[in-house]
Amino acid sequence: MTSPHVIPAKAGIHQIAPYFIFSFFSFFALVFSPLAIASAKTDYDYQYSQYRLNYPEYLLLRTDYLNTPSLDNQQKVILSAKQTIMSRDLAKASFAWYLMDLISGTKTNYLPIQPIFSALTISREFFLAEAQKSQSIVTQEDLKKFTEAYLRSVVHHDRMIKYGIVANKIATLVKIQMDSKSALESLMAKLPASLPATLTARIQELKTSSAFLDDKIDLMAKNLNLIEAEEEADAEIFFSSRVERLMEIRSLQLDWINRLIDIEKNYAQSN
Amino acid sequence: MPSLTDKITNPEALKLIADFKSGALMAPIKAKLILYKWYLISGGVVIFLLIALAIGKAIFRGSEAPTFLPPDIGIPSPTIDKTFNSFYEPIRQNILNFGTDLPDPVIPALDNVIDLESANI
Repeated sequence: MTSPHVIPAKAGIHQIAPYFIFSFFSFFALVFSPLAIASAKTDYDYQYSQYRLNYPEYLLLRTDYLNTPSLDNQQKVILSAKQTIMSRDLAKASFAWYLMDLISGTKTNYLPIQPIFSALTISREFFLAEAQKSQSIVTQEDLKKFTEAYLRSVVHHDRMIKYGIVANKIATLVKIQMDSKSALESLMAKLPASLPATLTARIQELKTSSAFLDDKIDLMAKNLNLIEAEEEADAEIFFSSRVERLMEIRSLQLDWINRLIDIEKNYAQSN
Repeated sequence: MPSLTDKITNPEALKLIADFKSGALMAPIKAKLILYKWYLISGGVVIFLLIALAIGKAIFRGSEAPTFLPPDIGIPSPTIDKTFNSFYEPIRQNILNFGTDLPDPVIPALDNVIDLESANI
């Protein structure tokens, strides 16, 4: 016979079980959700969306103020301008972080682009500082001075963003090269001990092609002359001239991996 | 053998038999035949032609050249090649997915000149 005291106890467990499970999952959701959400990309998307909300409002208020230059309109537009500047610089800072995240995500530690990575870090700090500094703007004169100083400094940091974009592409190419070399090593381990002469020649050809690709990537990285020709980033051909090189390297890498897979198919199959 | 009319006593029947024997009964039919003679001839010709066509068609079918069809080669089946899944396919996919367009990611369109000067509008 069941004790009358046990029944309410069982009922109590059944009643609290859903709450217990809910609390358990909530705890994990709270602990892990920021890690999942606060990625560089999502941060950038958020900051840029904030700017796109603030900027049209600022334009509207500025037009109102220029049409009707009252003190009230001036205060409104200055507040809106401060908000827009902050969201703009936070968007730039998060874009720099996003690029850094992409580059470091390749885990290449490719030395020729390290100065660009460092420059991106400095630019990110600059944009964060500017976002903070913008909040001290009170008058129209403050805003004018802030923007004048900003325009003098920002050119360099905007250029670094452009360099960062190219550096990210180079880092990705280097990553592919590293993976390709590892692939060749692992393939060679699968091949029979005594290789036919034709196969040895083909492997040697792959090694030569890989070195040739390395040189091409190195040359492209060296052409990103950060110290001597920073203003090169302002030219329209800064990106377009590099697209052709990227396409060429990509095409050579694809050809290389196809040749490797062909060797694997013909010589390294277990059956 | 007694005649058929010996037993028939009905005067109407006797008259009818007499008309039949004398040919008076057939006279209206003959008159009609003569009247519609050309119609009947035309109809007969048409029927004759239709029968001739049907006979001709049947004869033609009988003498039709045989159709030669190519021999049945069965349903063509695709050549099954053994699918080869390379161990290095992910690297190949990474290369294929590598975008050569620049700038990538696209630089956000942000206004550096935020002030209240009308010249900047």
